[in-house]
Amino acid sequence: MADTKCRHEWSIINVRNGFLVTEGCMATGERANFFTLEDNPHKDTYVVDGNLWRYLGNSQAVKFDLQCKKCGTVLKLNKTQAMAMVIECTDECRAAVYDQGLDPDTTWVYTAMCTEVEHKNGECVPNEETRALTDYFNGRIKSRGKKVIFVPCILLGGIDRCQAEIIADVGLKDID
Amino acid sequence: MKLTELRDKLSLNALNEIYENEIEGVFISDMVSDIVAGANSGNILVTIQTHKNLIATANLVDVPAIIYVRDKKPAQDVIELANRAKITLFTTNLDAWKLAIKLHEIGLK
Repeated sequence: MADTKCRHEWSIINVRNGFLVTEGCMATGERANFFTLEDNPHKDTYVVDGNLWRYLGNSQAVKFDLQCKKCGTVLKLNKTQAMAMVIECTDECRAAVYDQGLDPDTTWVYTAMCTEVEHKNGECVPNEETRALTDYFNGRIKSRGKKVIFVPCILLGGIDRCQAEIIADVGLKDID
Repeated sequence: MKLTELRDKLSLNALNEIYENEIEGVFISDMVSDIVAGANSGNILVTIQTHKNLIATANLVDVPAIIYVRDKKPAQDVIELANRAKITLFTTNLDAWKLAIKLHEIGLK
């Protein structure tokens, strides 16, 4: 049984190599990103709830879950589809503004990216997942004083203008 | 092993400042997805991939230096991001296999 009082020490499990697929809605301009293990996903245009989704592209990516080394709790990072490093952006980007408020020599902001479709409902990657990602990757860092912080991608100013560096094999290998 | 010692022993060409970092081990890969899952803090990364997201990934998993093989060189914006992350970038004309042999010979495992 999971220990809710445990200060988890996470290790990486269930590493899956797959693809980060991006679709765009031709009616609303919305974007949807999702991770898939399929190396031959459908690329047909389809309609769901008023959205006309069209395949835009993909890149090889990795997805994983976390398990606590102390209590055995498994945290499935179901909402996290990808990760990206926040660099710099306009003042509309709350992730970039958050980054600017931190010591640039020691602290790095990364974003945990959801499918984006959830933003319509005000939802994104939950705090449980961003906290666990923060704790996990900080646990891997041995450089003195250095740390990373994960924030949900709903803070980003706009995906089409986003300058964050996504952690995916862009252009290296794709399904096409 | 310090980065300056590594540079001297392997005649590496530094593309930016050589930061004071201790190297522990080597990780060879060209895919960020692989690096996220497999690289350890302190590893030197050997790669032919010059994309900027490699710096983002190396920073996330605390890789202090990258060696680009076969004389591959990243663009200036990649070097600038590496400067901000204090990640040293080297190049070598060796391929990954020959470089791996030399890294092993000088004691890195």
